[in-house]
Amino acid sequence: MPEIKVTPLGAGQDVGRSCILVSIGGKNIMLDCGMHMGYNDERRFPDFSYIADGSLTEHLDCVIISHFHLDHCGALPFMTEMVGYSGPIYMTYPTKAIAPILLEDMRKVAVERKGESSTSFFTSQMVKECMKKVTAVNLHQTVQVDSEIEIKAYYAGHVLGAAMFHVRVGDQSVVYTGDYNMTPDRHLGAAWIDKCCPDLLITESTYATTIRDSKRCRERDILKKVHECVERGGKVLIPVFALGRAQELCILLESYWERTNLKVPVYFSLGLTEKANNYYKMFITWTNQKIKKTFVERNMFEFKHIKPFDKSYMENPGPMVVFASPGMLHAGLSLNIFKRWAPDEKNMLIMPGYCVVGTVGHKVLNGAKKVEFENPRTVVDVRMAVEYMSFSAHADAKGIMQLIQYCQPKNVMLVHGDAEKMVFLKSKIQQELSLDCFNPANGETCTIVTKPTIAADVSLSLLKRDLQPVAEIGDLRVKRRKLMHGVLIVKGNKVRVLDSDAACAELGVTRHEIRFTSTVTLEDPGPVSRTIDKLHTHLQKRLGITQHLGDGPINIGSVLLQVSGSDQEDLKEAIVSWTYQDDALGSYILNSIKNIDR
Amino acid sequence: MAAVLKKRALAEYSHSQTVTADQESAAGPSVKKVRLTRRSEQPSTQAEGYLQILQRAKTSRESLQALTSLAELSPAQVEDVGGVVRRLLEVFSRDQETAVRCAVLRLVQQLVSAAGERAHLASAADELTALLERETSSSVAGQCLSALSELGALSGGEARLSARLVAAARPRLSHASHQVAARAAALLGRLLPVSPQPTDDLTQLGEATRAQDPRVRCAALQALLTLHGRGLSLGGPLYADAVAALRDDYESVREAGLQLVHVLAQTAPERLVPLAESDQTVRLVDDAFGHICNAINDLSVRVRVRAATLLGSMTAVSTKFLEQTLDKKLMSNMRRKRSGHERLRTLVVRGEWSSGKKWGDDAPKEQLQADTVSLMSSGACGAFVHGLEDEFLEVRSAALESMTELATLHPHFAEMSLDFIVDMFNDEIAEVRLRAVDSLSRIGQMITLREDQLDEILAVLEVYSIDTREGLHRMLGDCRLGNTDSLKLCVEKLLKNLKRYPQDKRSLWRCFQRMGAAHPDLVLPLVPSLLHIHPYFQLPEQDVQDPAYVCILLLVMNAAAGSPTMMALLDDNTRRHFLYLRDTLPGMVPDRLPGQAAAAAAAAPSPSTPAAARDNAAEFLQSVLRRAAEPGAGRAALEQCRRDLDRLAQIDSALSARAQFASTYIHCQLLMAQVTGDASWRAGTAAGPARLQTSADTLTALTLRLQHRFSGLEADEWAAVRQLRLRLLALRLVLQVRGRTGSALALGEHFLEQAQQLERHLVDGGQPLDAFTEALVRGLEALEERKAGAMARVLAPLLTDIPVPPLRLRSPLTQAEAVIFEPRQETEHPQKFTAGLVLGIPLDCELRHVSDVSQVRLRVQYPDQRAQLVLPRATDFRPLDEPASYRLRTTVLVSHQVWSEDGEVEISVVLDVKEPGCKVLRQEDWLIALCDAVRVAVQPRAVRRNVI
Repeated sequence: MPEIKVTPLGAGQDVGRSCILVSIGGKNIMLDCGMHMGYNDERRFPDFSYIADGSLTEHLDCVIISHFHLDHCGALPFMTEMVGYSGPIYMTYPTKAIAPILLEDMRKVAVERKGESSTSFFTSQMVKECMKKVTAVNLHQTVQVDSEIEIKAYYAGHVLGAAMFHVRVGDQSVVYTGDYNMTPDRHLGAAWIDKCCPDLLITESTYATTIRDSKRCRERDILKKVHECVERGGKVLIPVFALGRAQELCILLESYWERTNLKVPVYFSLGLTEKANNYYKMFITWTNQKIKKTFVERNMFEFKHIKPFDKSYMENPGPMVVFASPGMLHAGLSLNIFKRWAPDEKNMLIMPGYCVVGTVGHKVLNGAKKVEFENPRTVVDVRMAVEYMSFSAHADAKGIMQLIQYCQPKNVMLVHGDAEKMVFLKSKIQQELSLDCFNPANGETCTIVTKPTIAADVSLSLLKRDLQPVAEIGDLRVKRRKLMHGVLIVKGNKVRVLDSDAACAELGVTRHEIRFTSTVTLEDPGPVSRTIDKLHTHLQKRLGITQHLGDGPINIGSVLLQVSGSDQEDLKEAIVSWTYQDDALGSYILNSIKNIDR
Repeated sequence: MAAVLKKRALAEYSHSQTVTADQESAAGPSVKKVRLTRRSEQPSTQAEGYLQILQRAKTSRESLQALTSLAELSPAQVEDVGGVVRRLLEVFSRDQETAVRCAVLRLVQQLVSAAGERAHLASAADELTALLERETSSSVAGQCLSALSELGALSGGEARLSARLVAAARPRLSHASHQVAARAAALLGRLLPVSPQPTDDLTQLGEATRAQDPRVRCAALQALLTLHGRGLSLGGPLYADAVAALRDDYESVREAGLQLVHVLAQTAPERLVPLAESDQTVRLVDDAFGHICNAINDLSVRVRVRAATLLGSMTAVSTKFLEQTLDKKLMSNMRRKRSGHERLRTLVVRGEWSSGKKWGDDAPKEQLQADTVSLMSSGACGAFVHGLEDEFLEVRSAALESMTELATLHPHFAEMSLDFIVDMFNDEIAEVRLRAVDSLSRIGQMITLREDQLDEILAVLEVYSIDTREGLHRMLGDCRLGNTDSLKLCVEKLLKNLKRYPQDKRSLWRCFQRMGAAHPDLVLPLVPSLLHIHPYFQLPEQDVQDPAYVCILLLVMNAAAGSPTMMALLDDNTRRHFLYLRDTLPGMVPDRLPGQAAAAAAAAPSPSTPAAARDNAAEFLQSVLRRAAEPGAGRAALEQCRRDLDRLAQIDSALSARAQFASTYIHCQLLMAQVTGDASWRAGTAAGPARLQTSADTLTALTLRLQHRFSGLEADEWAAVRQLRLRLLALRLVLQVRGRTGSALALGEHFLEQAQQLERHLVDGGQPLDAFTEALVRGLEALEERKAGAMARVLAPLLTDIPVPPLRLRSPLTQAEAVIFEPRQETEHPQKFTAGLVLGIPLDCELRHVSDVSQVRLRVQYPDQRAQLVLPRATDFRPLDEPASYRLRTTVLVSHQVWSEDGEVEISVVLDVKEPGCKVLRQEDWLIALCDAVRVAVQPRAVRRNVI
């Protein structure tokens, strides 16, 4: 039986370092090639030696990257330039544009701040070389990787340019979702896929056990809080990561400022954002309806109220709102601003995302009233209000179920989520959708058996013979399942269905004929010829088509009817003989002769 | 190519006729007649020509072109429809090409339906049916069926024809080709006889909804819908088919299925249907509601929009199902979580506000059992929540609309949906936000606002969009408030709103008025604090010009009308302010406060009832008119009448329009008499002094105003106005001819045209002509040559001898008028802008009794007396509650070159009543001002050179 083998090298029952190997129809495909942000040793990259030692090119047929987040594309330069892979790599246009910015930034942080040795880490030249190997694809564009692999991207909505990929090899197909979002937000639309019925759907399950409140409620909440704070003269600090959610929050605040005609300044600390923002302005087709509709008048990413931040503004009196990176308050500008503003209770801190244990953000979120810092050793009183706001763009449990319903796969596999959460969702999928569901751990191989479809060539004449009569009448049953008589011949790897005669001729086999013969005794005095005539007229009346020549037997198709006996005898023997194929007709005639006198 | 063909056809078949026609035109005296005959000759030959080309065509391309040209002819150009159809069908039977034969069928159908004769219909239908029997090509057969269904529909459901066509279509419903089957289904839908019993045909159509081709399935569902639309009751068994169609792979089928489910549910809402996978039954409408709610999560936008729209009309759905649509169980990490709305609600119920530490406020509560959670949205669950979150604004606004629709019928649902509607104020598309405001004001009367909800709603008062704010004001005026605190909060926020956006003044006043009238008991405890009444100290009197104070006064006054005890709390100042408001803001304050009758009586000297006063005024108007109509009424008497009428117009708003109309008419009378009584007029040779011309100009403006500004005139009053206008034209003509200052040709023609029109109109309407018109018509008839000079000679004595007939006025009139609220008369603080560039001045005004909005213009007059007319956009007019009244909010663009000091730009609203094609008056003269101009000071500043 044909099968699909899936081995997660990362993101199996885990979040981060997404990297999934799929063997399908004899082809090996790598879905995403991410790094783990939590580790600084070799665990941060997928274990490529699992595939092969040395060059990967001959073992992998293609690599597909779903979106530009580093846990989905971070290991790519390492893989292509340091491990060695020169095969095709696919990603969408926005991903190809933005990914190198992020890779470069990450490299800088790793090498310059954390002091990684430059030998063990890729260089910016390598990032460039790597991106040269990438082929960009568009939404809904079917790309032929080689003669057998075919890939197609669907909108995923998670970040700009995020895509789900449908991979088809021969009859088998897999859909890989990457990260996706089923509820539209301020700048991206909802994920969309058609009813492509793949054999396997590999879906993320970050929020496997969560059903979220409506996004309007969340938005209203944050806006109200910000407004109240600036109205009483406070300063609002929103630590964000530079790409993705930052743009979402900017648009949210921008449009609120626009609507309420607020004059309080909003600042955005520049960094790599400026470059990335340019791409946001360009890839309008990848955004949602509102932005697409209005960009001719005004591009939503050209912010009117949001201005670049300068460090000196920190000391300015009066209310303001500042977006600053990084998002977890662990270093950099956002931390500096936090130190400055935290003691004033008029001010407010809004954390729009998740914070890792150990960061200042995490401490503050958990209600710490004093935060200690080293070099210089200081203690900061936290009197400012602290708010948490979830703006993450992943599908919740309902969304995942909805996508499965849209896509109609035969099997589901969960990746990119916590193991115990997956258990719940897995059981739900099995119960409510009655689909097989898998959640392999890293390095564990899952084998999915697919139903083979075997294509056979049928000669036109045979098809016509069996289907034509019905088609002429004009019946809806044309395309219903239908029985067909023929001989299946498997020769080499070609499968054909032939007419039995043709098959015999081709194989040089003489056909055996099976005939049934039955004798009926008739009580009919008079000459034999009269009996034959009588039978003839009788059958003529019933069937309409008979052939009778003189004294010879009566032919009805392949059925022969002969009468034996002498003219004098009262009892005559009628011999009916028919072939196996005309069994129905033969038995009918036999019965009809038996009951001829009734 | 088609052009070449046309030319050829023309050359061949109409050449000879054209020649004769030309000869005729040269010989015959009446040019018009010849032209007419030629016009009718040519086309028939044109059709003939195309037909012959068609018959001789060698290639299908030629045939198609000829057919196209034939199809382009207007129906009137084809005379012998029967013959043409016969010849076309010959072509049909001869030609093998599918495209040609389809085109022939289309043409036949087009010709026959354009001709619209029964005989043609029947015979064509017969022939086509016969063709259909023999036809083997499925696209031709499909075309044939669609032509037949058109013809059948045209015959108006004639039973015999329909029966024949239905019989022809019935077996083809299960045809292998989708073209045939789909069209057969459509035909059945349009032509099946409407009988009360379900027939086999319905079953067959039901069968066809399961056909293998999606187009056939869709057509079958549509046919069933058509049948329903024609009044056939669709039976219950079809419901299962319709529900099955909802799971179809094709969106058009799903959409049609949705409509069918909806229709079935609307016709038999109470029927019980078995619930899937259980032995219980539910009402059909509830089941259908669940199915349609499911479609809110559909893959296709079209289906989602359709589903969201349909939900609104399912008013019979039971409350349980309805309330589920707003229900979404939340959880986080397998633990139950409450939504933001629920959290707020419990806070209020508990009676305490947040501790100020909100982090963790939404922390998940109890652990959920995995088995109890259902992730599949089944039935109605959360349908509206999803609909309102949809990516596409079409879905969102449809869902919002439906939700409002249902909320207006189910009070409890209205209260639940309030949170969601308020959330929609935050939508990214302004259109949706406006719709949310609209929805809120529609359900305003149904709900009592909780304090937390109020808090959320009032936050929206901050928004910049004036439409949103005004909608909110309307809604707050309508809804009920729960307690005094809410009211206090409301008042505070609204006053803050006033401070921030002073232009909201009027809308806010109305809001306070209605809020006061609705909550007298809640206002009562707040009165001292609102009005700053101190038990011991006398505080300074508040400024009655202050809009915020007026707000409070309106609230208290209107509440006092319903709460007699409140009067005791008010001090004298407040009572005096009440009287002031009654004069300045009539309609906003109650006529009289309880316990103040004596005071009011003392203040206002007319003790009679308002009704009597009205009768008195009307009586007075009529008496003035009688005085004016007295035969001997001299100039002084008329002047006196005018003065009386003008005063009456000022005093009595109800009679104002009539009084002004009468006054204007009398003014015309006076001017007319003045001109014709002038010595130089009587001398009759030269034009006379300029004052005659000035009077004529004034008269022109006055008559135009009579004609266009007043509506509701009776036929005879209308006739009087028009005849007055004709008289004016006559006057102008005479002056023009006498003055010899320019050609009177245009004026003469215009006058003649008007005279003829008016005469015809009056005669048709059975109205008597007045003496002047009578004489005028006779005089003109006697004229040989209708030249301006000759006409003037006839007209002059008529004008002098026959005075303007007195006015009889009975009908209640209305007068078009405008009130400009924004910009206000402002000459102190000029608006600065760079000279030569554009300054936008926001304009906000109300138009009343304007029958044709397209005539409204904004007139901008600059300090150098140049004037510009601005045509406001049609979308800037918003209809008000009263008929023919509009709110116009737009931006007037003003531009000016450098001016040495502050310039005053005058902005006014005018009606442009220019009659097309009339060149007699200047552009300026056609304008009727609807209000006084507002002066706005502007200061164009020179461009600083170094900037550029």
